[in-house]
Amino acid sequence: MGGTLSYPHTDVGIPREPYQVLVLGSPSAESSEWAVSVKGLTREYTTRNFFGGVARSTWALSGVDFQVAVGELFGLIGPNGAGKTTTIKILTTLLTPTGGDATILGLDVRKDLYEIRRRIGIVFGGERGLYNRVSAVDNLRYFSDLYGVDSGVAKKRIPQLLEVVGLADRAQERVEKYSRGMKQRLHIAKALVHDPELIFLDEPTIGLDPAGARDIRNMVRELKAQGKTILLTTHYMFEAEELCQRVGVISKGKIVALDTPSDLKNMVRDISVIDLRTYGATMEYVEALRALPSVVRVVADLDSEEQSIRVQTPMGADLLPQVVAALPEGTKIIDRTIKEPTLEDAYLRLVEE
Amino acid sequence: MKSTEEAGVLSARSRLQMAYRVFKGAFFFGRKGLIIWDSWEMWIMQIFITPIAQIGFFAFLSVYLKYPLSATQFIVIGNALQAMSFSAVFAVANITSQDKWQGTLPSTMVTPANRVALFIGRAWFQVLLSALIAGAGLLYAATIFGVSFAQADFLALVVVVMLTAIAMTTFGLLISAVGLYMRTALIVANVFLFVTMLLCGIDFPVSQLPTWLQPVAWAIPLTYGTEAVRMAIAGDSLRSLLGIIGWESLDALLVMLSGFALFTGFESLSRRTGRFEEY
Repeated sequence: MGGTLSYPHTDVGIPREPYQVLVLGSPSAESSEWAVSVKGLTREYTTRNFFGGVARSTWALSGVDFQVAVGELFGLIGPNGAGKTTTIKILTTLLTPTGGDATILGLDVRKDLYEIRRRIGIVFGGERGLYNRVSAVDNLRYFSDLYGVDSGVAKKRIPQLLEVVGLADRAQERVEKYSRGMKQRLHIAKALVHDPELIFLDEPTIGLDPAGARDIRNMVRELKAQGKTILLTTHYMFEAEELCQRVGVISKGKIVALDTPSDLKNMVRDISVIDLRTYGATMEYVEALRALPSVVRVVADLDSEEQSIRVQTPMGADLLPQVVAALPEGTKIIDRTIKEPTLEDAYLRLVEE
Repeated sequence: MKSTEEAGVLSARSRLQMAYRVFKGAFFFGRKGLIIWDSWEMWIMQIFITPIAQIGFFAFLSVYLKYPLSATQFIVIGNALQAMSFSAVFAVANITSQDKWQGTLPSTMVTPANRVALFIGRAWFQVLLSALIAGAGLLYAATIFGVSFAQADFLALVVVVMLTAIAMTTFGLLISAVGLYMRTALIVANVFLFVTMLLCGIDFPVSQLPTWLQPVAWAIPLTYGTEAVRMAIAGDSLRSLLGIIGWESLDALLVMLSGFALFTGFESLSRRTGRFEEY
């Protein structure tokens, strides 16, 4: 990677007034001290029939509440369909909420669209969202124009951004030739082209190889060090644990827990985790483990040649003889470790409750 | 809750400067980023092959049907101008759909870009291309199909062709706005292209249409364009064409305003229904 994610903040390029923090106690204080404030946020999706009546209605969000402080790196985690992306879409003005309130840097997501858009950056996960037939430079130049960045500033900033995301040497190549990791790095550069105060990262490491994902995480750390406020959604618990100061767990359209990663882990300190690497394990073995007394939860990844099975239990190592005894014929344990619970264990408890 | 004023609203001048940057960026990027067939071979093919194929088809049909020469030349001039519709309407209408297919629409709509500047800037390249296609068509009319330009007022001709290119592009923008909400605007664009063939005085005068259909024909800027081009070739000066040019301009302006209203309306509707990513 080329360098650090910093560039002169004195020439941000677009006219900007400083973010105003109102005095606590004023009628607006509750929302204005937060970079993001969400209260009772709801979103209903309806499908209408031919006659205009509601054929089907789904509540994607059913009362979401959380706040993100200025300069904080906040994580939003949850299973597929829990409401993470819907929340991000509402906060970035792509979707209107059905009910509740949401403010970004003290501005209302329903009314102050223009001001909000000037001051936020968004990184969408995945390969889409870039103009593939043109170069990285052309993409960044176009988006800097759309954000109204002064051309002199853009001229300096675009090469700097390409340098820090490690794309300087391939800046003139068409984006369609880029790997997925390179595209994701370009997404980050695109989100920074107007030097936003608040950055939304919607699953920025999804589908990346370990090295690519590590690069992105390092960039997120750099952005945090720059004093940016970041709202990150992710599927990967270790990522949230590693990066975020606080994490909100969203499930079925509601925040079911919100705390620091270590305090969330404390919720499951009564259990230990037996981590197994096996050969030949099937669902039959997983079900046998689930049937053991004092097993709280079993999470298994059986898709690979070597399977990974995680057993949560308050018994710790004392359960091992039973775990071994339950092995069906033809299944072998390659490795076993007793571990402290992680954020993933807390998350699983929260989303399954 | 902090109002927009407290957060610091940009001055009108700053907003205007930003709108200019958006227009400029969209203008230059429109061709490179949003036109899927962007290559010089394709552009040349579009400029030179499209009009000859279209004009040739209708000209030979009229010869086969033993139409008088004046009727054939009427058809040749009409089709020379109408050939621009593929670029002015179809390609412009496709811009929003392209954004949807590439997944760039959400990234674009979360920018504070002035929507008028964005809306018009991205289509501007097509105005130039459309004018070139009509120019090539008129060149074929003169060199292959024997249309006499001896009396033509070339200044009037250039103004009318440019204006018609702009006017037809506004129709492309109007249809493009539909693509913001619907999965694609191409079906609407296709239908519109055939409607222009029928209504705009391309192959026969508008007066031949049923009376009730004639006002519809005059709601489309191309109808004024074909009439004005024939008049300019016949020798009418720019001054004498001011009336028809004025009506065409007004029509184009109304179409553009309707298109922009539709664009902002569908943007708002898409935010309510979450349809930005449907493609």
